Amino acid sequence: MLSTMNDSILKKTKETGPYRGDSQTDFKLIYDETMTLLFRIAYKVVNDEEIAEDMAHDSLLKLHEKAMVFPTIDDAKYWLIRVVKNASLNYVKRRGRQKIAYDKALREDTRKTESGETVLLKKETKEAVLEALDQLPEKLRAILILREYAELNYKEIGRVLGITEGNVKVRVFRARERLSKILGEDDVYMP
Amino acid sequence: MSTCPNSDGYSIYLDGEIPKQYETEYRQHLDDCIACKKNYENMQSITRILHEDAEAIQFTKAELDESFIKLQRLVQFQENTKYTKRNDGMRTLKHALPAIAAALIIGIFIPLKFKQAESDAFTPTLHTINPTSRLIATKGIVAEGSLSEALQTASYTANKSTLEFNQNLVNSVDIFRPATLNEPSNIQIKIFDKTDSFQKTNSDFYQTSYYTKGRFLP
Repeated sequence: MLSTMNDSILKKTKETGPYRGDSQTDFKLIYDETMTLLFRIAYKVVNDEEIAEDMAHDSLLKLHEKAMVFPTIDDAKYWLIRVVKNASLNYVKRRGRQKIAYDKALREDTRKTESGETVLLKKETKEAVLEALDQLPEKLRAILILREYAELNYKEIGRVLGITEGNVKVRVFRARERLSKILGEDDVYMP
Repeated sequence: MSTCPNSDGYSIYLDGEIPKQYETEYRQHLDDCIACKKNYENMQSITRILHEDAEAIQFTKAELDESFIKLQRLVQFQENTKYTKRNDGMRTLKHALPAIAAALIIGIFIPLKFKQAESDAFTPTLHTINPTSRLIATKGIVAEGSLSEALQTASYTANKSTLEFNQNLVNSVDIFRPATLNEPSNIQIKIFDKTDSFQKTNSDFYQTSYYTKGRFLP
């Protein structure tokens, strides 16, 4: 009996729905599944940890307030990503694109041990790439954030943004091309 | 002769979204063409850097739990304030009503009250006085305006102690006006008879209180 109950719970955590925003269990499941992703997206747009957390919280609050119902967790994820992306972009617009220097510790990657010079060059490259990402126009930046930070495929990005897959392909390519161009102008070392 | 595919193809190839039948073709071309390979590797390294950056943005379990507690508090707050929010329209009206009342009082009732008070103060009152011709003769009354004219045409008796006004001429005189006051005030005196009382029908009659030149004797 107990095992069947556990099974049904486990089943629900996977693919079956529906997931209700006003149900406490569902809400926690959605939170666990999406919070990191939502934070990453918001953080890449607003460049501020606290505000990014607020943005992610706000989107989840909205889901709870409106008692949204989703057939799968992925649907909830797409909805939340759309909300958090729009809210973050609006916030940045309001703030007048004022850049906030953010925690460098988050950017550093110390997993590999390399020679001092290579580490320095890599660090510089990374900073340059991230700066270049900030310089991209809003549309291209948003699409690249969804691709690289939210790790969505073309189809999913299309669903989030309400555009066709073909359009996503073109925009992702244009964003990368523009990024390469900005980095090429700065003569950045590419390892 | 080999032709290079469009660069956007490599972007799609990089994301693993290229249709299976073209995959080998792309891979082979990358091995053969140095320019395309360089282009592709450049794109690849940018993507790798962004991926690494994304991976670095991570919550620990404790952070995630802490954040959830914060979120639960917000949810609780939202639940508590749900009903107050719904009555927003009524609340606005509640606040607006006293404001409208105050505006009405300030804008309409107070000015009206003042106007009322003003008109009360200047309501013409009828006073019946009994002047004697002697008063005018001894200049007990400051007289101006048409009274001077009237005086010229008035007829005196032998001892000049009494003055007889031609009733037709004296219909508007200004008496009781202080000499210091530049603005003439119009006081109408109607004289019915030299011995009879005459009526004064102007609001400025009260100015008698500050006349300086003479005295009014009954």
